Amino acid sequence: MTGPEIDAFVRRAEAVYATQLRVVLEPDHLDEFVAIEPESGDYFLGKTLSEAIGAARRCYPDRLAHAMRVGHKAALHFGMHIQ
Amino acid sequence: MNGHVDSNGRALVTVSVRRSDAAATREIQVWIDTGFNGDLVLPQPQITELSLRHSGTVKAILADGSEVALKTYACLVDWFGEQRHLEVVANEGEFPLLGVGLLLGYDLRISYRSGEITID
Repeated sequence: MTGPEIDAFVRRAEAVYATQLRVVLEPDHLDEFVAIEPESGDYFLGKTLSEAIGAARRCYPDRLAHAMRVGHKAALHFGMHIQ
Repeated sequence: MNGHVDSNGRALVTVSVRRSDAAATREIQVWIDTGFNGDLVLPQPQITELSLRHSGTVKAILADGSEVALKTYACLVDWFGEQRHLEVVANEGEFPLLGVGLLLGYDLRISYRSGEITID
């Protein structure tokens, strides 16, 4: 996957989250990780990123999934942002 | 698990990583980074050497506040005698990182006096 392909893939998954999953997941699953398979729109919850993507891989072994954290801008962070 | 602090002040431990049950294990020295909330980061060249399978993507926020989309890869890591299925994150950096995700439930002790590290 090239940079532009990754960006397009991420955008498709984030669109699924924004239009279909936000209202379903944020009331009860805040802070959990979710892996989204954008072709089907299926999603897989987990306590960790590895759990969520692992569950997606078992169901769709030949497809990629995008991991997000419910209610957060990004699933991972490196260091602290000091403004 | 024991490790050491190197001359650059990096807290290092060694973990065993492999692609699958049948694959050869590779011992990798990783830098403990408590500012990273995931499990493991491996440089892309190491991921290629290990032939890890691309599993997905994830967005990360860096220390400068910027956002970046990263690839994830599936692997097995020997963590305290258990073979854990992990999705490691690929980056363009030089050093593998071990984050808080793997440390949860464990005690981490780092002595910058003696240079000794223990995780148990």
